Amino acid sequence: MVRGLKRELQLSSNTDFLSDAVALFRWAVGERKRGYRIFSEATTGERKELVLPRLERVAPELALPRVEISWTPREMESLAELASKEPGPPTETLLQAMRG
Amino acid sequence: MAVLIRRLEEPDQVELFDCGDEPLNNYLDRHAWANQQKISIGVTYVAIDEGAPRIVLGYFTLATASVPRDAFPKKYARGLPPYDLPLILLARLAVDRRFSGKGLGHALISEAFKIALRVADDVGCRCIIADVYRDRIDWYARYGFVALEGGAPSGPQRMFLDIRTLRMALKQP
Repeated sequence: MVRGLKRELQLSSNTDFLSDAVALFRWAVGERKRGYRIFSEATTGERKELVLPRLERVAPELALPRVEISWTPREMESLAELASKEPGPPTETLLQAMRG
Repeated sequence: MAVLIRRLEEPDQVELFDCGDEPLNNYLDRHAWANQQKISIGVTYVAIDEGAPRIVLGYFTLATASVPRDAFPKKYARGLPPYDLPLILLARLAVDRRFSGKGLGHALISEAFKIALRVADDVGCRCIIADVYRDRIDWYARYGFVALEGGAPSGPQRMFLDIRTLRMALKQP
């Protein structure tokens, strides 16, 4: 398998192969540590997620604690009105935030 | 400066943080860690420079909450799912004034949005709610937050952002 990969990647030395493999693994660990998921994306938009049990060990727990919020009756009505409507389109600033 | 945003850790030098607002400084200095680790009522994420990884440049705090469905006026019931409405509370967001004007607030809220989306994917969430200082309403409005009506005339303004709007933003090229 290693020989096949080296051939595909046109790598002649084991050192280069190992160095690239470690760099890739290091990047993947860093991304999962920050809580990011790792995907490949086809030109059609189809996405596949890379899930390795060892990588999942370094991922931070995402669970957020639960709190109680107090609302005035008018705030509650305003929330219901907004939540029951179709969502508004993203603003340009939001688009920039999600691209970053 | 290479900025990284991660969860607050106990050795972080929170006491040096100064955003110019005492309640926000005080929260990070005295309550954020305890709220995160001991009583679990909020998770704080901090922006740090990788070159000085214990100095906090900015932070935000997130928690989840929900509104019981029967608390809503009946006339809106049809447009809402037949369950309690889960939401994410963006409880605080602040940038140290020594680093203001460098886009850190934008970086922090961007990260908060991405976390909110991941939480929404994992456990469900319909919107983000933020209690916003009145002089910051326009800043939040630029991201699409809408002010809720009916809050106290003074004090923070409660604002709403639909998670579906975030999803739309993520899908746009």
